[in-house]
Amino acid sequence: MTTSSHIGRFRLNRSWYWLSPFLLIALFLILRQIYPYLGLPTAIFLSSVLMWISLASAWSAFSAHTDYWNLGVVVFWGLGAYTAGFAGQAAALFGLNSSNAALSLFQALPPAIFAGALMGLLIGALTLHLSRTAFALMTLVLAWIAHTLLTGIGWQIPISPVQPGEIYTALLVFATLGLLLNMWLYRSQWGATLMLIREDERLAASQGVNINAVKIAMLSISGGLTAAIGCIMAYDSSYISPDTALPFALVPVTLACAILGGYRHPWGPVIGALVLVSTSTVLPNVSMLLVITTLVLFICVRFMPQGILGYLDPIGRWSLAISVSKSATTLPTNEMHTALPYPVSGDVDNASYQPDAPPVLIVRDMNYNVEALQVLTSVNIHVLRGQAIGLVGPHDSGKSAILDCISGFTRAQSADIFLLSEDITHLPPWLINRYGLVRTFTPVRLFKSLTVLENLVVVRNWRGLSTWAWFTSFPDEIVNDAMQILRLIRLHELADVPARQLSFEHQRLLMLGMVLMSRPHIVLLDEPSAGMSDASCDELARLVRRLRIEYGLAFLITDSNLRFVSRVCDQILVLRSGRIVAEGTASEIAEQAS
Amino acid sequence: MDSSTFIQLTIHGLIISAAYALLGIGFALIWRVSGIVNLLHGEVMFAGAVLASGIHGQIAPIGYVISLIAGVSVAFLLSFLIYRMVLSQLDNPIQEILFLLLLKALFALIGFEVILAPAINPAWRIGQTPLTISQPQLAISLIAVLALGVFLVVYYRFQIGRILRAVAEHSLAARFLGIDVNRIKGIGFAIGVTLALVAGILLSQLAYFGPGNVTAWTLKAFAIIALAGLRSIGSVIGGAVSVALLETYLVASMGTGSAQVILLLLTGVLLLVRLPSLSLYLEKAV
Amino acid sequence: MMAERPLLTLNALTAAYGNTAIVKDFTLDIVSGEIVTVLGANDSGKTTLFLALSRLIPIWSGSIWFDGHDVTALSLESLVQLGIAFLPQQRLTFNTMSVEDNLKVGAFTLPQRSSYQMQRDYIFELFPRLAERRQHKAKHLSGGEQRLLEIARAIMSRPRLLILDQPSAGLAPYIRWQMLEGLQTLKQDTGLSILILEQAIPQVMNIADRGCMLVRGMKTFEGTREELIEFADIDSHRMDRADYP
Repeated sequence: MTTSSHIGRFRLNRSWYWLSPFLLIALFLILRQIYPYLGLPTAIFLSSVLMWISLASAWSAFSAHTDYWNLGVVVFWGLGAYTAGFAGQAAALFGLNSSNAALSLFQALPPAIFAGALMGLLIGALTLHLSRTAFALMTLVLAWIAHTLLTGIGWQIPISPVQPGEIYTALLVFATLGLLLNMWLYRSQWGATLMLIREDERLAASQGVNINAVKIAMLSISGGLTAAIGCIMAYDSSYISPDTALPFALVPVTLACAILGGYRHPWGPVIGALVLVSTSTVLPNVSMLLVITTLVLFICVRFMPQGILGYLDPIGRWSLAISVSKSATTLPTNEMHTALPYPVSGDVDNASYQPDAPPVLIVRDMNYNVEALQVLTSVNIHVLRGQAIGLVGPHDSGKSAILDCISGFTRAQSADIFLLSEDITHLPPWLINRYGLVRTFTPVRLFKSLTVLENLVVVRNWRGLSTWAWFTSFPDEIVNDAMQILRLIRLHELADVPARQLSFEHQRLLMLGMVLMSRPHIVLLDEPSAGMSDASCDELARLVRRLRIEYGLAFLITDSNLRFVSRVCDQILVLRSGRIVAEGTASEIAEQAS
Repeated sequence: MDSSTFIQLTIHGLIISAAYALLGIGFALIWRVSGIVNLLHGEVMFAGAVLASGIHGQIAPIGYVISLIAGVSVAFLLSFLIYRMVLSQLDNPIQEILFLLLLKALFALIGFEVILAPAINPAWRIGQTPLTISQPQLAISLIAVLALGVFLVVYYRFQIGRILRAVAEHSLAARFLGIDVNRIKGIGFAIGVTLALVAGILLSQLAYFGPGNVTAWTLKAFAIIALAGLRSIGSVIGGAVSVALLETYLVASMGTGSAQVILLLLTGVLLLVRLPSLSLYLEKAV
Repeated sequence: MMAERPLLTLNALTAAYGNTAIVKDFTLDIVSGEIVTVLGANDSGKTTLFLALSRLIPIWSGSIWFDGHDVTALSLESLVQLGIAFLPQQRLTFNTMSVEDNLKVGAFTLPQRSSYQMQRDYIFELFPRLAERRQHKAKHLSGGEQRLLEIARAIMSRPRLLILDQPSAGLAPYIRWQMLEGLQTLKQDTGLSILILEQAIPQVMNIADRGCMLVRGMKTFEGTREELIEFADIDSHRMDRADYP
């Protein structure tokens, strides 16, 4: 079994991958030298292409990777333009610039980028915790408001002229930056978190990804870059006005470049820009451009959402490239004890938990109601290290509500939840994961577009990750970890199989493997036996027992299958209409029932 | 501002609020029943304004009324068809937004603001003095109230209204009762567009429609919803009255320009605040 | 009852979620005026069967015949208009509308106003609690009353077959009794056929004329009420009766 670096069916060597943007630079530099001989229209053509590549890349970096479509691109552009203008005025006012009356292009860029990033932070904090549709709509309406406002106010700010070629150079720099940014997102762990957010936010949050922070940060980056382009293009005319600063056609054209060329593909914006700028040269006026571009955009999104490059590479494995070194496959199989941080207890047959150790999980007096309906009343749970507690009850007894409240997905009206000695009552799911409480879901939640191995690698233990690590791709140790866990759950033969092709039972096992990656203290299993055959239930029971005994993992298992729970758990709590009505060992409960 | 001016301004505000209620309810109805956020609300109103003003005074009164009725019917049918043939066939809200932006671009291409420009010269616009109310304006406002009344009666007392409310609230439950939800959504969409058209027809004689104003009217609909939410028709009417009054006071006290700035900023802020509850009505139901 | 043509025939029905077949080869007949139950534990496939019958999930293979016609390809709306009423597990009352309005919407397929009033009066007799609260908004009703309202609404259109998915879930015993009594009365008064997909609750088994058991998507037993009760008793370990009062 090997997983080598690959990008779809075009197996590019890693060096070629990183070299390609520099080829782009070289090409455009050469073209720039020779464009005087090609005549003016070509110069504008080249600048336009570079500008749209930059804008589309900046848009794509956030919107294509998280699937949150920012329809307010024009606001960031305008912000960059106006910041350049105001910065220039401020500099003149305070006499900061001794030689010129106003700021040069490269001096105006930092404040513009900063303003764009700040705006991204603000809008992100206010809107990104909502749905994708709400975000798209909100950014569109905010752009309209900004446009209407500024057209009404009509600020006009003069701006200093630039050296010939300065704009071209600046655009080339940012086009390359945009391209590099998108390429980096495919190779880095940061890019991987964006992908997790795109695939399944709830699952990503439960696996330790701070989804809101990541989204807001990425929008900031995208916003800052967009503002930079706005700043650069502001220098293209002699003054900044609402017409030049907030051209509404920006939105559909940017999106069209990014999507038509190849959605989420690093080179998509390049292809898209080339196609669209070429087409626009034959269009008579701006209104026509707006109509044609919006039409192209709509048709593309409706019928060919992967874009041109996506269409050419339908396997579409423009996903992470995870390289596994040869040594990973030759690791001796009894080295697994080091995979989890707990020493072997040694005593396999006797009590599998240590009654004197502090409890891993304490839930005190949990009450939860939804409007008028009381879902949970006075729920108390105690889980010791190495212990397995079962929660049984009929369908709507509140079992999933308990798990949701403990794992941070729902807020109970009153509760005290302690994990070891940490109060995790009001913490968000990702932070609870970092403290050592993980959960599975019912129905099954996985990253379906990734392979089995990749599913484990991407949910790596995020605890203690250094900032530098975000810039790199997944290290070999993580991949080795993943392989070890795969061997533990006996899925190592299927490491390269896409998760969506797994059988139902293997998918459930994979979910369990994923939560083990974060080195938890306690695992919450949500209806693990649902839909499983008896043989698979036995396998699962054996695995749980092994994890408890050898690694001291605690379990809280909800299920409606009393027989399965009796086999796996020491203590069983019977739940009915949100209340715990009985508590005891499996045999005690069975006696009470008959 | 003295009290008599205040009272007169209030009356002016109330006069236009009925028409504002029509535009707000149209927007809310489209949103709740068919799940579409109508980005073209301003364009539809403009179409109404063009219809009303374009032929004003050029033909006999009875012909005028017939043309208006014909225009409203065409708008109803056309919007129903657009919903059934395109909008309901789309897979997700982003595609809906893009399609509406396409229509918006087409409207911009036609540029009917230019058609409109010489025709509009309402005798009274908000903010101008003297604040007298002419008979035509009062009549128009009464027509608006009448239209509102008819809508409310149908919506609350007739079966079609009940079914619209049922589909708006829980389209899956409606399906289980044998209701063709797709067709009802189309009807709701068409009714909402028609209400916007009527609002445009009426408001063309009371307020400003001009170049660059189209999006402002759509934003006004957003403002009403941002203030009132989508929970009930009653709150939308309340929101419409509030927006109408607020606009009147602001324009009278600080002029059109500044008033618009404040109103736009307020819309943005209110929308951000209201967004979590509005987004509940955004996802495509089964 | 023996020689009558069945009202509903399910023929070797197989339905799936994604790639896995959940309900396999399910066959059942229902004649007019009888109550049939399909009993099964939590993941036996009851809800999947319901979703397949109501056409919310596709049928992989097999057919459904209603009143002598093949209705396998028809949509949910068409089935309702033919006379099959469905009552899923979730609460589907129109909460902001009054009880009366809910019933009026339910009468969507009824041709005339007069038949609406007759049907409504009958329902109010059957479920007096709803009559008391006729002007109240549905959201002010208790959970059990909402369930009664759902049933009432579903039968406003005078269906010939009513299919319910776990109607007793979450109901207090008294309401559950009232509901089941109501269903039985309906059957006796109007000749309505009822198919109930439910856990093995004694009260449900007691009103059924016939029934069958569903285990992991396959029918394992079919018989009369007495046979069913006996079988369910023996098979209790599969039914997780410890979970249920």
